[in-house]
Amino acid sequence: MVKTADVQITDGIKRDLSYYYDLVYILAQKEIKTRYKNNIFGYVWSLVNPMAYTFVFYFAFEVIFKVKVENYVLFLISGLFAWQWVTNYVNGSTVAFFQNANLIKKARFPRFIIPLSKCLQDSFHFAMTLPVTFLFMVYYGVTPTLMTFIGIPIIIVVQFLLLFGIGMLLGSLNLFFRDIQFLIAIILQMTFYLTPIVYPISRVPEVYRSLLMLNPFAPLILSWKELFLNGVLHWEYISITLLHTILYLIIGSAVYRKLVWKFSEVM
Amino acid sequence: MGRTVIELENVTKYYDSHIGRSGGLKNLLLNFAKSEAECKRYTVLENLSFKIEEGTSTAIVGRNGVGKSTLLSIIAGVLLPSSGKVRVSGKVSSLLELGAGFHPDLTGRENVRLYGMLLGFSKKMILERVEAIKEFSELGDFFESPTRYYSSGMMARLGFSVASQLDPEILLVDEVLAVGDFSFRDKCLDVMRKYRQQQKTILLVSHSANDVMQFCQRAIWIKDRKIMADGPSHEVCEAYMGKKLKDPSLANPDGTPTETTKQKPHSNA
Repeated sequence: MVKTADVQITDGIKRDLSYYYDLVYILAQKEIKTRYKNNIFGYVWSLVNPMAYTFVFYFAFEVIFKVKVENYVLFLISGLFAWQWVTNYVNGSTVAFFQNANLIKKARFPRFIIPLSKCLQDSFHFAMTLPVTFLFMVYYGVTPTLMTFIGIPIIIVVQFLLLFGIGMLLGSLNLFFRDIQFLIAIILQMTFYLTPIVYPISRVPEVYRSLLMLNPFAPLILSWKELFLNGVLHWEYISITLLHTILYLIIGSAVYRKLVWKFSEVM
Repeated sequence: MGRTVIELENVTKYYDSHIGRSGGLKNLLLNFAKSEAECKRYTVLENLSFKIEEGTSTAIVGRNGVGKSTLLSIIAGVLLPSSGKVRVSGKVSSLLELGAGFHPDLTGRENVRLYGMLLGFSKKMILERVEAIKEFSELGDFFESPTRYYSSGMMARLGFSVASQLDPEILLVDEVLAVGDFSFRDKCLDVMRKYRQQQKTILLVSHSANDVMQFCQRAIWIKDRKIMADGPSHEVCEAYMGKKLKDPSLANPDGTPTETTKQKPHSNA
C-alpha cells in the first residue's frame, strides 16, 4: 500500500481553529440537542444507567457480601459516572467513523472531527451528572473542598484526551476489521472489574496493584475517587493516567494518519 | 481560454480486493501469508489525463460502473487516486449523490448548516445564505422538520440548494437532473446556466446525452477505464450513443483507439 498519488487541492478555505471549533461544535450539538431538547427525560435517561448499577452493586456488595466501605453508595457513584463516560465513548467511537460513512464518502473534511465531537458530547453528558454526585456528597456529609473544584476540569481534560486517543485508534481500525467492535464490548466488560470501581484499591493484594495500573482506566477512576471522597488531587494517579494519555494519543494519531486516506474506500 | 482549475495527469485508481471488502480479523489471519500479488486488483480508472479551464462546463458521460463517480470523488478530494497527479484550485462544492450526507434526525435548516460546514464554508457565510437556500429549495415548512420525513425528491432539492446557493467556484454535480420534478429540474438548469454566465466551472456527471448536449460545451466519454473521446459535447455524445465519430482525432486524445492500445503499449505519442 504505497501512496504514489500527488493530490493538491487549493480551495482557499481557511481551516483555522475557529473553523474546526464550529465544525466540532455543530456535530456534537446535533446529538446533545436530540437528547436534551426533545424530551425532558433525556437528562434523566443519562442518569438512569449508572444509578441502576449503583443500586445493583450496593445490593450485591454491601447488603449481601457486607463489604466494609464507608459511604458505599457515594463510593460507587464517584466512579460509575466517569466509567459510563468511558464505556459510552469507547463503544461509540469504535463505530463512529463507520456510522458516519455517508458524510465521509461525500465531503472532504478532516475525519478526526468525528471522534473529537463525540468525545465533546460525551464529556458534556458527564458534566451534567456532576450535580448528582454533589447531591450524594452532601447527603453523606462529605464537603467538597476547593481542590475538588480545581481538580474536576483537570481530570476531565486528561480523560477527554485519553479517550480521544483510544477513539482514533479503535475507530480507524474498526473500518478495516469490523469485528473489533464486538471484541471491544467484551474487553470493556472485563476491564470494568479490573478497574477499582466497586472495590477499594486497598483490598487489591500488593502484587497486583502495579499490574492494575497497566489498565489506563484504573488510575483514572482512582483519581476521580480521591477527588470526590477525600478532596485531594492525587498527582501520582493523575501522572500515570497522563502517561497512558500520551501513549494512546501517539498510537491513535499514528494509526489514524496511516489509514485515513483509505477511509472512504472501505466503507 | 481561462486558467486551468482542474488538472489530472495519469490518474489511476484501483481497489485491492482482499482487505477491506470482507474485513474481519479472521480474514486477516487467514490471508496473512498470502503475498500481495495474490490479492485481486480491480482497476477502475487507468492513466486518465485532462485539464478543465475556468468558466467552462464539462460533462462526463459513460455507462454505469465505469468510474464516473469515482472520478468525481477524486476531484472532490474524497478519494485518493492510486497514482497520478491531481490539481484543483478553487472552492469546490460537490454534490456526490444528492442529500446522501444529510442526517435524518436534524431539520432541513440544521442539515444545511452541517453540510455547508463539511463542504468547507464558514458558519457566518452559511447563516447569511440560509434563507436564500430555504427559498430556493421551495420546501416551505418542511425546512424546519427533520429530513427523515422528506421524500427523495425533497432531499434532492435540499441537496442541490445547499451546493448551489453557497456560491462555490467549482460545482461538481453527480446526476442531479435525474431526480426532482420538471419545474425543479428547470430551476437547476437555470442555476447552472447562471453559473456559466458567471464564469464558474461546472463538472457534471450524467447519463442523459440530451442534457449534456444542451448544457455543456465539452464532454468526456469514459469506457473501459479510459477516455474514449474528449471534445465538443455534440460529437462525443453522438459517439457515446453509438454513432461513429465524425472527427476521428477526438478519439482517445493521444490519437490511438483504445482497442489497439490494449494489445501493445504505444511507443510514442
